[in-house]
Amino acid sequence: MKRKTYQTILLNGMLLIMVIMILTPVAYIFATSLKRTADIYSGTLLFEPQINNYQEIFTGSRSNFIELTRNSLVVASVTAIICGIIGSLGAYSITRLKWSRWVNGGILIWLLFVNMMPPIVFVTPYYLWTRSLGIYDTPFAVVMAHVVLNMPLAVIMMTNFFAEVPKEMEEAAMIDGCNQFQAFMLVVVPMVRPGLAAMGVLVFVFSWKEFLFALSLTTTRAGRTIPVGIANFVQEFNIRYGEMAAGSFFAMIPALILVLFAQRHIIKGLTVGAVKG
Amino acid sequence: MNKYVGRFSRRDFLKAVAAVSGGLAARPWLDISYKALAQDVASMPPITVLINDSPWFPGFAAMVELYTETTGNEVNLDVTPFAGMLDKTRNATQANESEYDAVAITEQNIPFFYNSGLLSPITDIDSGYELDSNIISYGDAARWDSDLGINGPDGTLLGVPINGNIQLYYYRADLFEENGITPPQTYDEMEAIAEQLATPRLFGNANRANPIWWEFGAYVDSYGAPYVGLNAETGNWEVGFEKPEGLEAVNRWLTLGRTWAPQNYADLGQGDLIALMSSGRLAQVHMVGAAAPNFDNPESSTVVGMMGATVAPGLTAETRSPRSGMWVMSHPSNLPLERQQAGLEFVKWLTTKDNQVAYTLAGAIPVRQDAYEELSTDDAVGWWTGAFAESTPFIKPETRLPETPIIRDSVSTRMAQAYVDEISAEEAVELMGSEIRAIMEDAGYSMG
Amino acid sequence: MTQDVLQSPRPVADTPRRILPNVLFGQGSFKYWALAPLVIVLAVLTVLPILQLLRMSVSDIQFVEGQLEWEYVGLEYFEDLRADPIAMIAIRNTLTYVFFAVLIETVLGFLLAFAVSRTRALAVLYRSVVIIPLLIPPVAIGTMWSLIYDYNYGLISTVLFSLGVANPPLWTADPDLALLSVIIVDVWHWTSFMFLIMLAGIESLPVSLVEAARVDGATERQILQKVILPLMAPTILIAMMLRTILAFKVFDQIFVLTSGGPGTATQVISMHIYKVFSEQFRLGYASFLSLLVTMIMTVFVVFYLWANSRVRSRLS
Repeated sequence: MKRKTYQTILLNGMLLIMVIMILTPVAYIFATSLKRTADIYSGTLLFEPQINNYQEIFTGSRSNFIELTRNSLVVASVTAIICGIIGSLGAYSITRLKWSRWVNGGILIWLLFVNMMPPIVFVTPYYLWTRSLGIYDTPFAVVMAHVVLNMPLAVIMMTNFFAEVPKEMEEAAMIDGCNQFQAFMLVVVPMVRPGLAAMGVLVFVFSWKEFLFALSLTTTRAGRTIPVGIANFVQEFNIRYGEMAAGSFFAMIPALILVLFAQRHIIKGLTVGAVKG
Repeated sequence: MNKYVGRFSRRDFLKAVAAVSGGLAARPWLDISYKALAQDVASMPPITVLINDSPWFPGFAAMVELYTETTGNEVNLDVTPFAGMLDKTRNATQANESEYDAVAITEQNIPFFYNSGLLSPITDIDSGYELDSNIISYGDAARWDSDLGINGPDGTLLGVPINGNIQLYYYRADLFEENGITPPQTYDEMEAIAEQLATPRLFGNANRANPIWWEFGAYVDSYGAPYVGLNAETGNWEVGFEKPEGLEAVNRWLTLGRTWAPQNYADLGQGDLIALMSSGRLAQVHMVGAAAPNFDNPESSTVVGMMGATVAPGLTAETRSPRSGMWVMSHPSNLPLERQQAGLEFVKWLTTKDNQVAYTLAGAIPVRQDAYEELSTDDAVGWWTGAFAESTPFIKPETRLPETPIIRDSVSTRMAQAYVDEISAEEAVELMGSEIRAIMEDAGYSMG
Repeated sequence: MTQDVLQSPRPVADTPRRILPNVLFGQGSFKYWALAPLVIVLAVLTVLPILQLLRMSVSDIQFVEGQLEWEYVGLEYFEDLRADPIAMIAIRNTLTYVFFAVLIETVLGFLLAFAVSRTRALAVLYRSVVIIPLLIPPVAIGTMWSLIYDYNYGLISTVLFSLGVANPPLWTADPDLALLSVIIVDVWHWTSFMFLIMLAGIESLPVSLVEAARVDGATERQILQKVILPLMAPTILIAMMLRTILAFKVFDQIFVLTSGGPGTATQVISMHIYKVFSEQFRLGYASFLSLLVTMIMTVFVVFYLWANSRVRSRLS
């Protein structure tokens, strides 16, 4: 019993150190968002907090941070959902459904190849395609690009998690009269919920922070996302630190809430559905 | 209603609009000429302009507002981060039809776009258009001589300057006065001043290290050893680092950059130099001229009213060679004529003298000598517009070749290495010389 | 074997006429339906750009009179590589960067995931805190860390100065510390990536195995070493593979933080490729470099896949 208490303290101590290490720079970003530029330049630790930077990014008819945040949330969620569905189905098919080595090997190699390419390779083709499809400067254009960029991550992660599911589970379900789709949905998916949730969160995150395509495939507030708005603060020869900090800090909050909510929701079924082998 | 896309400071924008209207109130004649001018502007369909967010953007946006107000012509701005300008312009000019009626092109991208055939000659859009002689030439930045493959006075007019940024020398006028120092004209004087003023709390001088190229260009030019130069007599291209002056320029840069600088001299970007100057920790600096309005902003600067500026020093007073880092506005060739005309109409309006004065008061950097001269006695902006006006005869832009970006890679890499003693100054000069020669020979230039 | 029977009650290679309906509607058709969207996405959206890249890597491409002109140059770009002042330095730095960043993040990510999986109290707090660094755009991460590291007005030196330290470290301005500084930022930014995958892996482990070990009187440490680590090995390797590929592509964060300096201490290859591609518009050489880097990454990927198949065959 004593050893257990000791271990718990050690464990939580370690985790608290982690929390502090992660949060110190975040707190610094928050502090910077409350500083005047002159206070940032002087590096002082004591300063008079003011909310000018937040006013700058929100007030007035010309401000577009709300729209950028909305676009980012839409783009990242839709990308995560599409990658989640297409990626899991595809990953399940190639890990479990008896394709020849050539098919599943070929697809995996192609995915890795796509993943290893510098993304800039896709920029000009996608620009021209989205213009001729008429989806340029909409969230759809950005979603399209993000789905491609994140598909390798989605499929490769899910092949790993599907491989952990014992084969006997599906076989038993199918003997009980399920067809393959039902076996997948009712037996396999519940068992990989943690993996599915992690994949969804990561795809969301990558889409949320992607800059190059968000910039190249949009031109107005109808399509632009947060990273483009943030990058505008890095100017030709100057950086608007305060507003950048305010923008980054603010944009993080809705995303964090959404991610936590979605993650909980996906994982919740875990204990109910899983019949652990 | 105009719409803006990127992020820029609303406060700065309002200030800029106020400055324009304030300027109008203070100068009734200007107001009249606006109204007269507005009548000259034809009614045009709405246009979209690609522009980057920058410290001078609020001034540009204020003028756009004024243009719409006085002429009724609508302007949409795609405000894009600086880093994305090149790719966005390139994409737009490659599509079936460009999304932009006018694109802002920064000086270092001029050779690519002028040489590519992706832009329309201005005279194809308006056959009667002539560049006003008061618009500063910046080494014929508006024209491209396709026979020579460089900017040249006889070249085709492909763009109109809209931002006249150059390098300036900034100093703390209060400290200089206190110590009886007159602003320097040479590097020797700069070094003496750095030595005299440096204290543990005040750095004598600092140079930009990220990257070492643009400001250093003024050094090599002043030493008569430009990165590349066409010898008019022989018709051959020459490499400056193959001359003894090349090494002298490097050593001068290293001395001025390291000796009186903060310890992190190897990692200083333009933003750091602005921060050091704004917070009163730097006595003098050779830096981007467009930063001047920053020092007058009490939000960020503790040296408001203490700043002075003049022509960036050189080896001698006569060989001072500040570089330009300006912008032109051009019109993609994949546009119907009406759209190009609508775009050009705005550029013409923006570059008239009165509008250039208003543009300056709103916080932007004009391109006309008469605007600079008129404002050089202004209480607010006179300290730097005067220095711009004074610099014009000395401006020595870089030789803009399609290969310049590759040459830049060699110079900025080798100089960065020399700056932290990864290699010696001699090695750096040797390597830059041979690398630049190879780049030029590969591209087929005739070399001396 | 049983599955085969279930999938195709009739012999598949019957006649071509019968295969198609079977693929679309038959009992085993799920196999095809499930894979189709993925194949369509890849075929429509990736094949052309990648073929174009392969073609570019052996071509010289210029704009002439507003039109792109292609000229086949074969393997000429090996010469450009030899003349390139940065490419080899950047590749070397990238390898160092990838190696240390991925290694540190793997170890930390696993330890944290294990620790969080063992705790009940505050688990929600830990989970939410961990996600935060991932939600900040890399440009902002680079910028904010440059403020933290800055010698003159940064957080670290301000604190050290006020504690009476005369010469605080220069971090990104010191050629010897710069790469380390950049790796620290990477660890702060990306450990969460490893954490999320590994935590999912631990949570997917059969609970009974851990319980059984505990009933048998194994200590936590033994459970970790003998049960969790071996079972987790495939997940760890996959996470490392994905992270390695990502780390090779690191860009904005370093670009804002150091732009490759001081000297060439933090030049990385993705930054160089971008410069060659965009600023210098040498599409051919940039594509050639991209393929070169892809080959280097492939060495890592093949290693991970090989290791993965070994641990998997040992597990089963």
